[in-house]
Amino acid sequence: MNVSLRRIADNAIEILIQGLPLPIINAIRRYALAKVPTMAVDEVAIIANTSALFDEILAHRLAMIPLYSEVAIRKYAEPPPEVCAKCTASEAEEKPPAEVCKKCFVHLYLEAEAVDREIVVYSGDIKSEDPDVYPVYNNIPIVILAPGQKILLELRARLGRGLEHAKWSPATVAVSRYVATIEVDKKRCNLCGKCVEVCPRKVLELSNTEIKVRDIYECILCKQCINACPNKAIDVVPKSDEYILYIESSGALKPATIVREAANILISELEELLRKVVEWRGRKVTAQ
Amino acid sequence: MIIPVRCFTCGYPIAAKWEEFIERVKRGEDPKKVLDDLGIKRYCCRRMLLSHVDLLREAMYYTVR
Ligand code: SF4
Ligand code: SF4
Ligand SMILES: [Zn+2]
Repeated sequence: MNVSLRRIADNAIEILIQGLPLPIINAIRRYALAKVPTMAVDEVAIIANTSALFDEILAHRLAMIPLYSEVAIRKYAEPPPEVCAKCTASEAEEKPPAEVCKKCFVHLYLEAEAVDREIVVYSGDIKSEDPDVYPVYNNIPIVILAPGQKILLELRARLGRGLEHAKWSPATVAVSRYVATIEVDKKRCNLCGKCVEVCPRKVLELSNTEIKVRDIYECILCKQCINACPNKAIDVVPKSDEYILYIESSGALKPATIVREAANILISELEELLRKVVEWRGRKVTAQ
Repeated sequence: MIIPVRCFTCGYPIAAKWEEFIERVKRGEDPKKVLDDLGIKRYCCRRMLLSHVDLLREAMYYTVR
């Protein structure tokens, strides 16, 4: 197995993976979307709202704001998000005791009043009780207030997973894609350059004697070049043991953290499976 | 009404880029160039900013008591 970093930025990571089956890469990708926990606002108490936005729109906007979760995913890991979910579920089925619930919520406050001129209330105006949990971006407009309008809100944020609601998903993009092999049949190619022209990624290059591949990893296997070639000289096929994993973060977690956490969750689930299988070793087979 | 916090399609927090986008466009810059500068690559996110009108700035006055 061979893993290399293709690109890394504040909010995105691109990894080249060789020799790992696609289903495993796909599992990591899906876990990045659905299983890696983050913090998000889950309950809003509206103490005052004379703005033009309805209470539920305000609550929805607040829930969408990415909260910094790098520290929180360790700090609030117990109880697991599944237990927290029961806490806020409307149908009252066996709720955890109140002291358990207290431990998973972070309280935040938002207060703003427009006195004599319009004001825009930003995510940066949210005050958090926990210095480790705060809005990642300070400049997200939440509401605009006309003179005389005010809001006073109490927010409760908790860890959750994309499985429950997309607001907890740490990744805005999580995709795996194929790597191409481009073959040009030199006997057939007349160097007309049509393939170079149509390629949306500028992967191909025309030299005096042949069609060259500039950067194979840029190829998205769109097959435009194949369609454009008048002599059926070019072919693009996916490699079977090399893939690219690309993850873009909402800002709540670093992209590398998302990959790490997703892989960790997968590993711990497999370990659980393994434990069970080992437990069953030596058991007599009983006919059903 | 007011710029959505996230892109409807992919969930990218576009609202964090709204004010810079609209200020630069109002000053006469080409929206395409501003979107490129802001690093907004996907067309789902680009249409969020391109098609938004801040109606709340007008509507909010109809509720003042
Ligand atoms: S498949 Fe598409 S991206 Fe790849 S070389 Fe051909 S035209 Fe370019
Ligand atoms: S389009 Fe076909 S014939 Fe023309 S340069 Fe490309 S591979 Fe060669
Ligand atoms: Zn988008």
